[in-house]
Amino acid sequence: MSLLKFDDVSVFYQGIPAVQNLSFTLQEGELSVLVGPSGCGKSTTIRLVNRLLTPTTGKIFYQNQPLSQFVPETLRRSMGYSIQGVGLFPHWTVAQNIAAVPQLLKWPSSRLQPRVDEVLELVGLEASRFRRKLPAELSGGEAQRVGIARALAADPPLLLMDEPFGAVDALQRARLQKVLLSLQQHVKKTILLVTHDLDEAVLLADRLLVLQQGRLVQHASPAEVLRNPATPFVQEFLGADRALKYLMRFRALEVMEPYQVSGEISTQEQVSYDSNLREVFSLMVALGKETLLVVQDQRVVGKVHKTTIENLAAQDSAR
Amino acid sequence: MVKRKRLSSLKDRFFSGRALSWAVIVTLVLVFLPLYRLDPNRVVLGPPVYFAQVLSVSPMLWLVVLLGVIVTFFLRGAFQEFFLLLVALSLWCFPTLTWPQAGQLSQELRVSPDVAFWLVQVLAISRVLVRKKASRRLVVTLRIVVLGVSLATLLGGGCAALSVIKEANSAQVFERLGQHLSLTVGAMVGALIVGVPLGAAAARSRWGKLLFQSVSLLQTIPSIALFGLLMVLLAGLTRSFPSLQSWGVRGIGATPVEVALTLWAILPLASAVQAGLRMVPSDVIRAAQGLGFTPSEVFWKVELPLAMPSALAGFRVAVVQTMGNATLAPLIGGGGLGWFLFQGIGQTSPDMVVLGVLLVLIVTGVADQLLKLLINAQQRRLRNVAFEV
Repeated sequence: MSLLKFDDVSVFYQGIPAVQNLSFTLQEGELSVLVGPSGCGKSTTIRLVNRLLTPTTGKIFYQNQPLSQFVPETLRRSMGYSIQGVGLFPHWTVAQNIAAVPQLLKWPSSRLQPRVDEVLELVGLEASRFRRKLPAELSGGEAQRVGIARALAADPPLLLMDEPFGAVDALQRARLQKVLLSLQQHVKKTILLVTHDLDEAVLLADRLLVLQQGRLVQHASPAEVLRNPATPFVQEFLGADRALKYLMRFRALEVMEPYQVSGEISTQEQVSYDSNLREVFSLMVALGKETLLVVQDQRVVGKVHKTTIENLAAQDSAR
Repeated sequence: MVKRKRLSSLKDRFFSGRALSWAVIVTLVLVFLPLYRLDPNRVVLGPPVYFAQVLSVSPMLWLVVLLGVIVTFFLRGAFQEFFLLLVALSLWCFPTLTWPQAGQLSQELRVSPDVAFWLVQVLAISRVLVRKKASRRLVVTLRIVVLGVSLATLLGGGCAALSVIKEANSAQVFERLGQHLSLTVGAMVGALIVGVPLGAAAARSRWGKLLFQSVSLLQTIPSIALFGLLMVLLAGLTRSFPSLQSWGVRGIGATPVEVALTLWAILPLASAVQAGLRMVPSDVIRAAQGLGFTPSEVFWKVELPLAMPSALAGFRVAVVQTMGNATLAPLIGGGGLGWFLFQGIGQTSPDMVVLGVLLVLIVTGVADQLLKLLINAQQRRLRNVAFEV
């Protein structure tokens, strides 16, 4: 079943098109990423979904019903929403922030606290430590996590994320991306995420929607987009290192050959089992090594060969 | 070497620069400036009386004052503040304790406070105000003691011989005080009803902003002119609609005063509400909308609580300002504490004018401090928990 469907949607601001003839369907349980350079209409698109904007022409269907039939507030309460600036309510504690939508939905109060704790743990925050904190007492990364937890709180079928990691540093961003991926493995939500960062898009997406000047130019899996860019624009947007970007999709664990070792090993020659292959490959180049050991729980579980990775990348771009 | 060290520690202990300067200034004021005046009657000013002269009237009592002043030289902090306040207080009641017994005060002769008297009061109050942290238990306790002693002296007739107090007929004082407070409360209720929505409108719409600007023009009308305008306007209204009179609407009296005070109070209140709402971060509002808050939920649950600190500060300013403005009410028969001022001017009685000024100052100061306490308490409560989850 399609959860969300755009049918030939266009939006004009004073005669100037922001998005044009947009048609796509989101499959349930998939993480779709709207990606494109700034000004391509991706934020406009996500704001159409929760009716912060209305299309000039065309129709949008949510759960097979026209979007215009929903009361905007009811609609928004059934969609999680997380934005770049987080926008936590500064006068409420973390728990109160997270409970905002469930309270609007008039959940019985006995259900609130367990749910708050549950989503806090989902985003990797210790509930007992963070429940009573105020937003001002959180770091940027923690605030983002609480923002995601707040979006998840009422267990909405659809999650909208508008540049959710836009305001944090690269290290935090990488951590939050991991949190989102592991979270998605648990909850299997339909997620529509907007980003201008192609690396982020490739890493997170089950399906990419590439936008150019308000038009959808390619809608496919990351592998497909990287392999066969639909237009010269997409090819240019992906950059010359698209073969390497493709490697981000794989983890060391997936391509290693099982291997046991006893005794001391140099810390330089090992990678974590959940490192992606782009990280592994660049470490190999930096160290001048042909193989690296894969470590899980401080135990060597296998080794990765440079040739394996090269073959994977080459084979894929050849196809 | 050792001797100098001991000397310096002695100096630190007793003669800290700032504390010492308070004591020196108070002493200089008391010694060199006239303390009281002996007026032959209510209207005519009499000759000044210096501290040295009153010392001779009742040496024992005045030596006590002198001792109090000397003690302030050796104290600092909370205790110096305490003793300065006691010295200031003693000036109020010593005429009562000395002159009548000395038999020097005829029925007509009056002891009026003069420059040194007022300066000592001002200095003592300044000493209280310069303290930044007033939360220490010792400071609070000592201040409460002073406040209690002052009230007891005043109500017990301890200040009765002072001319200013003679002007205060207690029934009259309470009546005027009641009028003053009811004028203020009425005006603030009106200002809240108009000002808060106006500020909210000004923060969000262009029309609201336009309206806000036209209301702020009202602030530029001089007070007397506004009173005059309202008198004409309301008198005209009651002539056309006599039934309004049964509602108490009249050209003179409390009605035009209430209207004028309300009009003046709207601006500070509305602009504080507007500023508070403007300061609410836009991403917080966007998040609230995106999560499914209705526009009214956004306002009541998010915007208003976040604008509260600014709005409350504006409310406090508006209250203080209204209490000051209410002093003008007697000009059009509105009563209030300004009555003493205008009566005093009419009867050329400086003491009565001073009494009026004192009453207005005290009432306004008390209201200001009470509001400050209330606002702090409200903020603390807000910070602790708005509601439990």
